[in-house]
Amino acid sequence: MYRNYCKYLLCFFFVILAFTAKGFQSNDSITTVNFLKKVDRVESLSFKVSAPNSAAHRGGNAEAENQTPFEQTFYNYSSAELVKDSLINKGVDASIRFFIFDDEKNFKSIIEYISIVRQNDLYIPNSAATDNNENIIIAANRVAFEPFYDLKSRIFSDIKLVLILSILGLFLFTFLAMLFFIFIVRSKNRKRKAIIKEYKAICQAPLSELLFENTYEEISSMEYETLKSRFSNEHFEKELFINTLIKEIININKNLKGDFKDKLKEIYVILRLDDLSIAKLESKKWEVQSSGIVELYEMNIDYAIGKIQNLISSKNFIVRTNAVRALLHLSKQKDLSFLANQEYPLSRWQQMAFYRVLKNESNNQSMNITSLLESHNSSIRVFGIKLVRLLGKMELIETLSKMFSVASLPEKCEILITFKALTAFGEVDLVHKTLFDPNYKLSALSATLLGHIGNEKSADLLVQRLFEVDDFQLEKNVLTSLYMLDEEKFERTVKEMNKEHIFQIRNHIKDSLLTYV
Amino acid sequence: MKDILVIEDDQLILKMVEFRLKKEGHKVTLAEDGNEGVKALNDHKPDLIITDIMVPFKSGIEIIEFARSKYPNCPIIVLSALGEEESTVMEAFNMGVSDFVPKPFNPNELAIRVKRLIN
Repeated sequence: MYRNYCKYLLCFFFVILAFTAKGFQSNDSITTVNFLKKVDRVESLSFKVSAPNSAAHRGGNAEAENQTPFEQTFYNYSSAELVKDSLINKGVDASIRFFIFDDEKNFKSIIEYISIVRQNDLYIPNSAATDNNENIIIAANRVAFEPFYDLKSRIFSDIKLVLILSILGLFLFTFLAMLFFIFIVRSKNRKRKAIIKEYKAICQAPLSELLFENTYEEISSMEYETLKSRFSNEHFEKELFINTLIKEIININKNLKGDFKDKLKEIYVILRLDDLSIAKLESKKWEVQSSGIVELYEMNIDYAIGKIQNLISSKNFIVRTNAVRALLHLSKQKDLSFLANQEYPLSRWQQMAFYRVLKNESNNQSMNITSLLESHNSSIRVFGIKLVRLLGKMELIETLSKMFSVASLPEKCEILITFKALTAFGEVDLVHKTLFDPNYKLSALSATLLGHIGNEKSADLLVQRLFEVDDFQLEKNVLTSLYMLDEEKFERTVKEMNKEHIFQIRNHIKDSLLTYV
Repeated sequence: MKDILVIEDDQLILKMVEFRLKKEGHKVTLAEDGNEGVKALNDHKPDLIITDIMVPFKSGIEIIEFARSKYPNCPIIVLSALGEEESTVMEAFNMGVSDFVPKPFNPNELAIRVKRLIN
């Protein structure tokens, strides 16, 4: 039972192997016979030609042979079939029997066996076939060699290889293009720098002569053509030369003072460089617009205000900042209402830039800071409050006090800082209220401010606030202000509170060495 | 005719000062950076030195220090922007510079200060 099972399993295995190893091949009797005819021998396979009488026995005694059945073993099927055919031709009933490992098998088994043998190459090819192969090789040698796959087409037939080569090619191309681009840019820059250096040298001598040899009146009376000829008529048509000349004039203007500034402005205007700077404002490039604004700002070209005003609401931050800065500098009235209408928030950097312009203005009394305080833009209002503080606008303290109730937290903080800077004693009641504000930052600022502008009532309120809070910074500010207002009350409150950290704050406040720590 | 050494990295300012001082009849030696300035000081003793604080390769302070060690009696004028570090300007004064001209400056005023120091 077990043996049979193993046989079936083996057969099944062979069948599976026959179908999977090299794919399905036809295993019929004709194919098998044709295969056997083609091969010299197959391993472990033998054929026996057998006949019932001796007629088939060649060259033997006829009588004796009649009694002995004929049987001959072959390993080559063709030979076996030849003998069988010759016996049949002689009228003998001959047949071929098949043996695998000397066990006789039926033809069906042989078909299966041959199928396995073919798949595993367990046979010796017929010598005739070898001869044929040799003939084919000899014939092939007479034909010129031509590869089956052309190299090009082979590469392109492999999609992965094509992709990798394309990516590498792209990288190589980009690298070379970048290298070429850098080389071109560097070469252009080098050339440009050399030209600028040459132009600077051309500008230096006539500018020096004009500034030191000619009076302001002499320069003013000069015509465009006369002044142009002092520099270079030939180069004056070139944009780079004009820009270099403008930069040189602005550079001297920044470094020199006195009547030299007036002379430089006159040269700038007579040479119609102001028109070029104004024309730059119309450019679509922000850097050109910016340079135009800066040139007009530096050379004090106040008649360009109208053109500059168009750029104060530019989408570009640099253009917008420079335009506002130039307008603040150039406008005589110092009406800040244009700034109040700004939609964009003012950054701290912009606030600093605008303040630097305004602080140097001699007629800052005419500045309309109120318009900034009434702006719909919170950052502008904050800037306005800062201006009140920095420019010492005492008359606007009341305005700040009025806007306090509706102000945002940053504005409230700025207002309190301004009250402290301007020592606004009149606003002490307002500060008393903010001392009890739930926002600790505002409360702490108010506490500090009361130290400077507070009164007796303030000291009581500070004590009251101290018992309410548990924020260290606020406690420190309250105690500091209380110490400044009423030292006796300060000591009494510290004792009443009887807390370790309050004693530490007290020691810190009273230690003169730690005053600024 | 006095020999004046001017150390300034801004070529245009350098040329302006040269033009103005030459007009006064002085011989002017120019240096565009600290190294050139020190080299010029090594080559010859000037009657007066005008130097900027911020110059390439060697700072104005180093130049002043070198000039003071080599020529203790040579007057030095510092020509610099007021915006520069106050401590640096103070350091220059402590090293014994004769005068300080803040930028922006008036070349005529500089020429007067030069005349005063040289005479």
